[in-house]
Amino acid sequence: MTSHQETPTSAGDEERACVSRDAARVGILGMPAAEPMHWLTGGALAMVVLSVGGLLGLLLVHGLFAFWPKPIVRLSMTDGRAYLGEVLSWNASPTASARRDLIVASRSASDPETIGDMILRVSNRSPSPSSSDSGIVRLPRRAIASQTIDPWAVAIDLGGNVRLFGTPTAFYEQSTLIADEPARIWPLFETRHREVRQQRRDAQREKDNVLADVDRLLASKRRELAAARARSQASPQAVDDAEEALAYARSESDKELDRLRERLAQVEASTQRYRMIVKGTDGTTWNLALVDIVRGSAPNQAGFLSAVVTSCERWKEFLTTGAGDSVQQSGIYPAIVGTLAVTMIMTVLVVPVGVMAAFFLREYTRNPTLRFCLRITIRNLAGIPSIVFGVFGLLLFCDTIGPALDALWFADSLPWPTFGKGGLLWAGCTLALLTLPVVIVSTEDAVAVVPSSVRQASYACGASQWQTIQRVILPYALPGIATGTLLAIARAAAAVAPLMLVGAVTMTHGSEGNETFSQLQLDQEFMHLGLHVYNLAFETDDHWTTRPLLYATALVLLVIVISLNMVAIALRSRWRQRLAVREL
Amino acid sequence: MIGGGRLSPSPGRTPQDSRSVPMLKKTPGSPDPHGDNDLLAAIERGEPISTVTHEEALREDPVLAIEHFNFWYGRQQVLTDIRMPIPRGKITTLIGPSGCGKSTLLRCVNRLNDLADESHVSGQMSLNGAPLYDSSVDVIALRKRMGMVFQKSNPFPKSVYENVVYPLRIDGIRQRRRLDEACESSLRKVALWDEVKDRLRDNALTLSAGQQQRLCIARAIAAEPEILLMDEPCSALDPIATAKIEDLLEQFKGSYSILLVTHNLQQASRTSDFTAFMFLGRILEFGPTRTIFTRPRLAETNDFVTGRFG
Repeated sequence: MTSHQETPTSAGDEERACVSRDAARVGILGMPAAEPMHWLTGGALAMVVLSVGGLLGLLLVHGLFAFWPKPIVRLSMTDGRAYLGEVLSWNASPTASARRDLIVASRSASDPETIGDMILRVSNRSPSPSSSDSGIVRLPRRAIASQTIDPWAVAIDLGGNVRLFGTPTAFYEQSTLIADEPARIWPLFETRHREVRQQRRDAQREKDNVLADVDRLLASKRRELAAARARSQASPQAVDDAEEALAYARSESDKELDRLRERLAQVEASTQRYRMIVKGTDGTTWNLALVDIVRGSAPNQAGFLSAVVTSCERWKEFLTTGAGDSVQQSGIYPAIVGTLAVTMIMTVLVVPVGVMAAFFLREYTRNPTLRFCLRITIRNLAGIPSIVFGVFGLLLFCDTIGPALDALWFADSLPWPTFGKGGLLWAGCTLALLTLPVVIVSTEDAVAVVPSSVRQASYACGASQWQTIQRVILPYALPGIATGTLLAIARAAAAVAPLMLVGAVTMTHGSEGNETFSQLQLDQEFMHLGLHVYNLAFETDDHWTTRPLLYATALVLLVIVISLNMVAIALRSRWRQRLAVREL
Repeated sequence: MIGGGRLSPSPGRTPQDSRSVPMLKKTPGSPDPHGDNDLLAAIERGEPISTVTHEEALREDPVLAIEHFNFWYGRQQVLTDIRMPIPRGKITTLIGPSGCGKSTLLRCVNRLNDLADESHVSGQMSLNGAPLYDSSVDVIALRKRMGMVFQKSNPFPKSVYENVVYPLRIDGIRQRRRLDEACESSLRKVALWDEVKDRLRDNALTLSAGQQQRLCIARAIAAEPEILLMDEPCSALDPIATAKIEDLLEQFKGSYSILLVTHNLQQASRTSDFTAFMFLGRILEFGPTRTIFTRPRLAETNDFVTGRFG
């Protein structure tokens, strides 16, 4: 063979030999044969990919479809009762007590199809959101005599968790009957409803503006009067003038308010002119003014596209509105703002402090014993459960530093605490403490790999230690700092427990829940998406309606954390690129 | 020629030198075949010896004077009684076997060894008459008066421009014009200007190895140093890049005072004006390069420069 290989004619032989050697190594399914460990490690990776993909995919699907319209069915029971409502579950497992009964009953009827319950949301008229009238009914499938899908069944939200199910039967303008068939009523409803709601919103805005103007005017006149009184010795005439001006402003304002009241009454009358009659089951009818209806939908009519539109609208509302009457009713806008704000405060606090501390440890400490002790302490800090940090934050910030600040700067508002209670700032500080070790450790690791030759080059140029740190070591440490920030954000997002101790609340009541960043106050309590998820999961007994919200909220939290991480990752790879050229 | 086998725990071994290939080939335990090398034996025993300094070196105007200088890492004495004047405007090379303390001596000049823990010194050096080792000396200001080039090129992960003007930046100079001028003149001096003038904003790490080393030289001379310290500047470069740097050294003669450490005897003989031969932390002979390489006064120096050492 060896002699053959020297001759040119044996090239084909050699090639064949190679092919057959390769063929011998082909394993199952045509894939190259590999060592057993190859399969084992690959399998482990596949499991990781599956679980991550599963988590993201499942949450994405459930979250995105949280507001998908559900069909409305009409059920007649064997005992003659009728129900009209949204199907929350077609076949839920029965409750424990029902199960006991079933075990007895199953000896006679053992059809598995009829064992489960159907969960229906039906009309609830009471505005209070307590569980008794949440409108959720559980109907044993055995007791259902017939089940029809009424094409014109509609769901009407009246706000405050009140939802009515029925069929529209008449549409009135003033007292004139305009339409009396659902197919004609519904398009009318949709256009007129939008119109009158817009009118009412405009009126509301106008009212707010006028009231604010009047307030501002009167306040300025009052201030002028106070100023004039303060200077009354010098010019007594000015006081009289100011009093007169105030009185004039008052009368003008009163006139303005009267005019406003008149206009509002007109608008109100005009918005009230459309009414719709909706007929529920058992002959109940509701005579509803369109303007009082928050949302009306006819899910059984909806095609795919309109379902998407409805779903998007509900998502938008969910993301942009604030506190409602209950956790289920409220949107998550304040929670998003709170989460972003507290994460930002944390980042702003933890990154500079952590980076400085890491530089001190690496660059300035000469004493190896001291360095060792500090390092051990910091790494231990990373292992402390987050709830302990919560208790620590409560003790240090809310109960010690806060009251001291209040006594110093906010003494006039005592006994009501300003900083002596949980709030955004203290929550940010607590999270910063919690994540400090992460930032220190990753910065330190990054500084440790700065080539000593580069460091010496800087010293040899006559740079001081700080100049070397700032101009040479910092660029090297930036990717590590980004990693630390990334890990810190991740750890902070996971820490709900400490936040509950230092200022996160279930519900904030801002002006209609429309808090924006500009309105955020450092001492104010805030909502947090993590806590919201917790509340949706555990603090409500209305399992069937909160579950979709739970998925949606978790999805939003996930999206926020992933986007923040993406920013950190992008920065890191950019900074790394500058250093990586050296490896070429 | 080295007596006994006692060289191994070389006192002058520094972390930098331990990486390079030892030049001394010797069989452990083999007795000195000649028995006539009293000087090296005396050094190994730690006895004081006196440096043979040629008169030509003493006649020069010294930019840097090293007087009775000793240096210890912990308890280990690395440099012993160094006495030598470094002539102004000339290139002085330090040659000697690995671990003899050449790089350490160089780093003592700009006090980079201060950064190492547990080092201490005795004796004095003075740069243009100003002492370097007084307690009142500001080390930062001192280092600004010198430039240093290292064995491995070590540009900062910044732009070419920022690398060159780094010494000026840390001096707090902000005027664009002065920085631009310094950058261009330094890069011209190292013959790098034409190669990088369109890439001044590029990351310095994108340059080739030889360009990076010349960039480091440009950085070292940007702030017009009084002395330029070069620690084996060509040892990591290919012959072409090495030739370019040797050309630079040729041009620098007269305008810069250079203290150069090299392992390459040809380089030392080609480029330098004066040569000092070091052994185990001592300077054995110091004189004009031509004399050191052709008619050294010490037999040990002759053995080393002719490659018969060991």
